Amino acid sequence: MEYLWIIPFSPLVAFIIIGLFGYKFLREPLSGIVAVIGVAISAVASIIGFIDVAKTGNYYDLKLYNWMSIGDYNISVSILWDPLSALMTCVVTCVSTFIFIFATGYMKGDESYPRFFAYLSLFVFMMLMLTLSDNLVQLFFGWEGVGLASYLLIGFWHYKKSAANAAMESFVVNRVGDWLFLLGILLAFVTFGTLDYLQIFNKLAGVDYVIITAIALLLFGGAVGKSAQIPLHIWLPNAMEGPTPVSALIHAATMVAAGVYMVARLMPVFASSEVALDTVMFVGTMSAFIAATMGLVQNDIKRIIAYSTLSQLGYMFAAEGLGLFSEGMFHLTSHAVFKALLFLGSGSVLIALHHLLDIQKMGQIGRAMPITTGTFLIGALALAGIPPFVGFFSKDPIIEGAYEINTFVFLFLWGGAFLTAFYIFRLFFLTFFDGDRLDPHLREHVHESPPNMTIPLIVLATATVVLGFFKEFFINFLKPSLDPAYMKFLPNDVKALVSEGLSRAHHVHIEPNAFSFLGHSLTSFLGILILATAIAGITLAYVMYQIRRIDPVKIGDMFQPIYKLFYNRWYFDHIYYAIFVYGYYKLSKVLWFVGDKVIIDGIVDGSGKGSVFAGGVLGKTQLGRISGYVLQMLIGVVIFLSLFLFLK
Amino acid sequence: MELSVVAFWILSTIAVVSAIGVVFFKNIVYSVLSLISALIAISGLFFNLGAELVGALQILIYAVAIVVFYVLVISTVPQYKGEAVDPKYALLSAPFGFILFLELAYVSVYGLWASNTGIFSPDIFQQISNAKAVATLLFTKYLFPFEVASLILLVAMIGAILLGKKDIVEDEEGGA
Amino acid sequence: MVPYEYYVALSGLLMVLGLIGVIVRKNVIAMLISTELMLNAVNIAFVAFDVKLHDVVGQVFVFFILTIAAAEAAVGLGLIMAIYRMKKDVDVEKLTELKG
Repeated sequence: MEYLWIIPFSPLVAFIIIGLFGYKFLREPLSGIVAVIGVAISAVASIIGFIDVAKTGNYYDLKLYNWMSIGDYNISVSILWDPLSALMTCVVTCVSTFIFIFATGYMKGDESYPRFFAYLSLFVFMMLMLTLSDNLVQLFFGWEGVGLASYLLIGFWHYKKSAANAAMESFVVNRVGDWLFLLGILLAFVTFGTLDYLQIFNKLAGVDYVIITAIALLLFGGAVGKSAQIPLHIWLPNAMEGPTPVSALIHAATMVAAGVYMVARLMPVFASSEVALDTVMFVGTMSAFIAATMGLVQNDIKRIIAYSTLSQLGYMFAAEGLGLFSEGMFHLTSHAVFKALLFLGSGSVLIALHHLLDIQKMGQIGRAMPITTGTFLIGALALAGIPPFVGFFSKDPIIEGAYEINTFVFLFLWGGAFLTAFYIFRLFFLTFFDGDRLDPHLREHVHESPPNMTIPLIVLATATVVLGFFKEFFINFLKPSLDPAYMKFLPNDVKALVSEGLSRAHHVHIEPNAFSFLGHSLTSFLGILILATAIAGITLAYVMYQIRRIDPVKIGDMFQPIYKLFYNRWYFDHIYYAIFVYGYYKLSKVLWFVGDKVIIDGIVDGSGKGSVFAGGVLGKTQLGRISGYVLQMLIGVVIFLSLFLFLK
Repeated sequence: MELSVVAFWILSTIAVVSAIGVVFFKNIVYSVLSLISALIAISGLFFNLGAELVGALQILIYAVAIVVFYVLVISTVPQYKGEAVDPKYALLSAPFGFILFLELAYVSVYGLWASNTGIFSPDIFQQISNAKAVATLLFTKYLFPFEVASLILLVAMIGAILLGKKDIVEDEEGGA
Repeated sequence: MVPYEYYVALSGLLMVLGLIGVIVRKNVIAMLISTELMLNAVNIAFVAFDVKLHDVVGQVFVFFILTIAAAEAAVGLGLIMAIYRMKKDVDVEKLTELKG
């Protein structure tokens, strides 16, 4: 398994090559090609490794390089290759490959073309460091690295003020989460004396419940920031200022899922604490529902999909909180595929419409862009949870599991599913069909995108259709990493502990096989209910925005307070602005006056004035006459000699 | 009364009176003459203490060589017309000087004489002369400072010549 | 035999007189003469200590002081000549370039 080191370092090499030679030698097509080759190599390597793990169910812990020693603990750059990390790595590399190919078309003609691909390669390297890590320090390294890459890419068009602000905002908001995450790492190190996952898992049994809970909650705080869950979600919609491939790769498929991955990776730690699991569950549930309501009324095509990402990440966290870790990870995989598809589809639309973002001004472009429309429809159906697309197989089990475990969570997830179906088809109808609202000038130029953009769409759409039927394979594949009964690296007492923590989900039985699950959904009451909800959402969107039987404006007027609440995103941004930005501004003003004006300026100016004053006084003693100096010396000698004689 | 005691009182009185003269004579020539008188009295004190070599050098170097410098300069510079003493400074320095003298005298008379004694007891001076003892030390242990002292004299001579030369600065810089 | 402390006290008196001379005299040449007085006061102290402590190192230093006094007189008088040539005066009240 030594070849696994190729996976993270091939994008790094691509990054270095593009970074050094991008502008001088490679320029437009070549730097993109180098980046695609770099990530494709690691995709191939990770698929080979994936097959190996799928066959054997083994795990490999490779220490590549000893980074630093703290006491008797060595922090190393390492690869932990087990089903979980193999799945995540495959998702990252494969989705990245197609998004890279799409980006070669999307970024065509941009003057910073090499810089874009350099950043993208850097991002993939950091993301792989994160997923492949076998200890918390390397995880944190990757965690911060993807944050950096995200910052650079959101602000890629840095001459736009809104983009620069959004990049800054994402960085600052993430800092809050990262601060908690770092505290969690430190507490884990103090508690366990090690930061390697496997060693931490081995020592779990004897540790105090409160400390475990604290560690899990602090680490989850980091995940909340990185995965943009409530209350740290505000950066993600604004992050859509970046180029669309970036939104697809970083802010939908991979980086924002890092929090979900981290929770699954540290599943034994979270499973040891009821409180931590409950927190994960409720934060995920609330994010899933609230983000869906925000998505209902937005008009920016990318922001709607961004809110949808928030909502779907909420589903994943809810699944993990419910104890359905495998279902959560499967939803992560399927979401990465169909959300990348949706983003790339919207990117294709944006290219055709010259970066027009407002869906109220679009319409009737479906006929001109058949491939984009078709693939986008597939993605939308998958998001809405319509069989046989992958979203159905990944999202329905979560809602059904919630029904069995926690009614409160079920109600919100169920409501969220209705809203999801509604808002994505609202977007779909407004963008691709409906009346003729498009500017005639733009309309003339609408055309299908070139093949290097449509081929990734087709591949991802195919994956969206096919992947759902591999449900059983994925669930079984993940068992050695996420089912305590199959986890080889856990001692028995920890297995019992983890198994007890996950006991809330023990009575849930979800058909692993895709076909029997489909049959079960179509026959049981619950399955039909969920399916009917999704269809109802789609139908309502059709009625309101396609055939216009119900006027959306009237509905909006009728429920004006709620509409305003949703439209203003539940006033989160306003509250944060009032508390943090304005409050901080006030605090800074006070500190400026007290600290700077009074204390520091007082000291600085005072010392200056004091020196001038003392100089004025002492200057009078400078008579310029030698006799005077000698007299002063005589007086000094007398004083010191007297002191010496009397104080002796 | 012993002879040496009488000599001490007489010589020291001469020295102190001459010193007062040095300080307060308005005419600078009188001052120099008082200095000569004081120097001779001091060399007499040296003889009285048994330090013949130093006493002799005192007369040779101070009372002759150095005083000649002063006389030469005084004859070059025109007579100083202003008042000799600045009364403001005299009033200020007199009390402080008096206190300093009291303190020095206190330290001298009642101070501790705790220090290592050397090997040159009066018995040894009976056998070898004072000059021999000083010269031995000067040319063995203090040979290097002795040579440096000669160098200093040379440098001082050159410096004095350069300083005293007329219009040195303009000529030197013009040439360079 | 006179106690050696008296010699040291005498040296202190001459020292103070020399110091007062430096302070009160307005003629630069007279100030220089007063310094000679102070140097001699030190010489007396050296010799007195020597005899008291049965040593001759002090007398060696008196020899060095004589040397330095000669050098100092030469350079100091040279300086006075230079000052006189520049200022046409030897009054210390006129030499106040350092006045603050």
